[in-house]
Amino acid sequence: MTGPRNFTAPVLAVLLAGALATSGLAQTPFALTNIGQRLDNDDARMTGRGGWGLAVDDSLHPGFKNLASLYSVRHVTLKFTAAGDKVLSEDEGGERTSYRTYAPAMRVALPVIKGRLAVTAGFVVDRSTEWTTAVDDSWEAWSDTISGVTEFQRRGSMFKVPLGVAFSPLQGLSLGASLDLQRGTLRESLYNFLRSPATLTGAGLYSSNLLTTSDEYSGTSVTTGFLFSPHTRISVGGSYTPAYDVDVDRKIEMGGLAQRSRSSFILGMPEEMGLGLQARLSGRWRVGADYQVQKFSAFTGPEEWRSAMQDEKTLSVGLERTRANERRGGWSNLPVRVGLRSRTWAYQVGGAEVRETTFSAGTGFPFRGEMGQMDVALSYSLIGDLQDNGLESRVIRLSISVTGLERWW
Amino acid sequence: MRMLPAGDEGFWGRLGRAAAAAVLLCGAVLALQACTGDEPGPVGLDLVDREIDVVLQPLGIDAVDRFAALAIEDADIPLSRQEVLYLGVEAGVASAVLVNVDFDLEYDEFLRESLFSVDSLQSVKLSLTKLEVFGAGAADEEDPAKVTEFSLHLYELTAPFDSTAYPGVMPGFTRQLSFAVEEGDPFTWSGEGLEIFVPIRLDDFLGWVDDGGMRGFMITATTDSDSGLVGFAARDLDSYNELADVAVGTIVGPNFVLDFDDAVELEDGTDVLLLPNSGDISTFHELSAAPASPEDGFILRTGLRSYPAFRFDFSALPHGAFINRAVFRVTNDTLVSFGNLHSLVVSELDAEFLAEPAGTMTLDELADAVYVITGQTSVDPVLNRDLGFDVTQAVQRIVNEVYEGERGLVLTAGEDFASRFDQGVIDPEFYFSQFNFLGTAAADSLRPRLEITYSLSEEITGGGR
Repeated sequence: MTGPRNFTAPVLAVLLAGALATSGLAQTPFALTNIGQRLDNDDARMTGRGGWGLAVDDSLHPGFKNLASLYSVRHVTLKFTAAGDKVLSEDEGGERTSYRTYAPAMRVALPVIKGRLAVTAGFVVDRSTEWTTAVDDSWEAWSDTISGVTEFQRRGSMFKVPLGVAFSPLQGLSLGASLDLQRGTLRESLYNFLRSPATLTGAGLYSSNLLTTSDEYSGTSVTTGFLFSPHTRISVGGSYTPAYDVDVDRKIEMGGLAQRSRSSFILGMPEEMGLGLQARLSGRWRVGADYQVQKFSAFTGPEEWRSAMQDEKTLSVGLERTRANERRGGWSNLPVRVGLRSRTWAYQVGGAEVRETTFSAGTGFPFRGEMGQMDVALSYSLIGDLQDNGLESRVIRLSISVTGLERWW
Repeated sequence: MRMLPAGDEGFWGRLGRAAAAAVLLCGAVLALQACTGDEPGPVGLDLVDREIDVVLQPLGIDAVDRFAALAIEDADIPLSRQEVLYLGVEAGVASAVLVNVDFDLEYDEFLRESLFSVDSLQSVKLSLTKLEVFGAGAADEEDPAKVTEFSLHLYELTAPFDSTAYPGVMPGFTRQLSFAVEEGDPFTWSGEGLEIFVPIRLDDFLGWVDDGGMRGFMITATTDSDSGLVGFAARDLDSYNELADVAVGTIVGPNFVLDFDDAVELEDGTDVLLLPNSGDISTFHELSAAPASPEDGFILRTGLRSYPAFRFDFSALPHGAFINRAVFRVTNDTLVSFGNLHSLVVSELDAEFLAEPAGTMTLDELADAVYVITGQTSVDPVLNRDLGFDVTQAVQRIVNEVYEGERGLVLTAGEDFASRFDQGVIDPEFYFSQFNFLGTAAADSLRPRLEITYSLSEEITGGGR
């Protein structure tokens, strides 16, 4: 069967390019240390209901959180997610409000045998870090009092390119697996901006210092998943990523110096597993929960990181009223999602574990002809505790996802 | 309930919905990006554990391990072709003016041989025109005190001078000439005005005309003269801007001014004949040698160029240091330095030219050997004592071992190769000036030195290149 061409895909591609080009990764000050902050790369549908999605089986709105769920797709599926944060961070040094936009994921799934076998690929940011501190500073040299600003900037991300397959060998059971190309960078820049005394042109008489450490990550991991539906109202899903190594090439440079330091080491990333449950309640209501853990207590790598590591645990629970197509249904046709997520971070800050609690809600708008959907979610997160960690952040996030379906064959 | 089959909405419907979604998404992204957050501040500072190990560490380097006083020759402009003649004594430099005059006069219907008699020739004067910068005395309303008084002797040389012998000792002479004024030995010139007229005895002059041929003269300043090395226009002067206004037809190089009887009318309708010289030169018969060791001080001289070059001992500077600032400081002894305003330029110089004893380079060779770093313009040798030059990038290049060989620093005037500091059209050979700098044996704050401020990260030190 052939039909009119759906233009969602090219539009999404343009959007992706634009959003990636402008994606800033400003986060919370918790990202100033260690391996970086876990990035919420779920689509807006999942985010709205708290993040659960391992046990979801929806051929018209696949979740990608569990690759095994992709077996059922019958169209080429593209999903693009973008988000914007407003972050209020506070410690004893004061408060700072920051904003950021980012595009954490772009996924595609292609049916090979419709309803049984599909392949998938994408781009997913797992962790990211960006925060900048700046304080006025002064130094003495010769007869000069040199004043300026000391600024520290930490910026980078760990992302993966998953290449996967999903297959349903039996009715109610599907399996999935992917090979993930792990890549990323982390750049720490320490500046001493020496602004005074200055020349008549305003340039500092003393050249400013810039010390940078640049890490480049490279590795490969494997992720497997399953989805089991023993009953029409119950689904169970899970995923597992065995431990893997990430090679790190480190380069330390100082602006203006020909000499630089190079070294390499390995990050031993721990295994990660997750288990999810979904139950259909009466009518259009569903309830679900995911529990994920990555055993960072087994992490190997820089000692200053490892000594602060602990297992990263995430519990997501939520409720969803799926959408309907009732004639003159109006707003009641819209899906409604609410959820709660609780996470313990992979590393301690200020000698205490970092707890993150997120409340979320969301909805969605279908495209005509069941050929995709746009979802939105609004969430509010509390990260850390001023008393325990020495700082805390509050994040308001707007997530938007576009899912497009194409009949390419 | 009605399910709309896929493709039912048609091409434009699909496009419209996709575009609407795109606009909404872009709008949301752009709206968030338009929000302006707070500038980075101290929030999170406690988590920053990175620091640069050494920040803005001062280091003074005054150990000069190689030094050369480079004598620079300009093959295009030998001393005999220079535009200025120098007369007088100053700070160990003494110079007389030598002039060759051709007395084989060419007579014609106006300039008849018969005019050269005591009846027709009223007076003869030797004229020299002073450069404006040396002042006109009371006639100079802007700077009336700037004047050097001279007591002059005039000698008739044994033979016309040989230009290749100078700078060098004063030539031999047959006699010291008397002047055509009472009590005129020596002839005293107050320095007022910009032109000297030295009165010549008529019988002497007529005798030279009778004898014909080339004859040499020497004008010297006696010890009764004020201290000062004063520049006069030479026959090769082209830079007329350096002169005060002179009358049309004036010959500014040394020349004889012959004043005939009023009844005489020469070709130009006047009764005055200007007899130009055939060659002129400064003797610089006393020229203190540039110190060979920096302990005793060092000089930068223009006119007869001598430029000091150094290589400092950088062994105290840590490997891998980032240079925040490096200043090359020298102290000019304003009590003995003299001359005109000049640009002073610091350049990198290949250390192979820092041989001992210092050799002679041509100006072209120097231009090829240097890399200009920085400089200062309008430096007054008698006023500007403490001089500092920012050589940050040069020291960083040395730390970075950018060059295969070792590098030093050379201090020059504003030569053509330093175009940023080569102001005007006057090149450094025009004015004879001398900056006398204090040497390495002077007090700490006065000796030549590098004041370096550096920062250092031990994370880099010891790493690969």
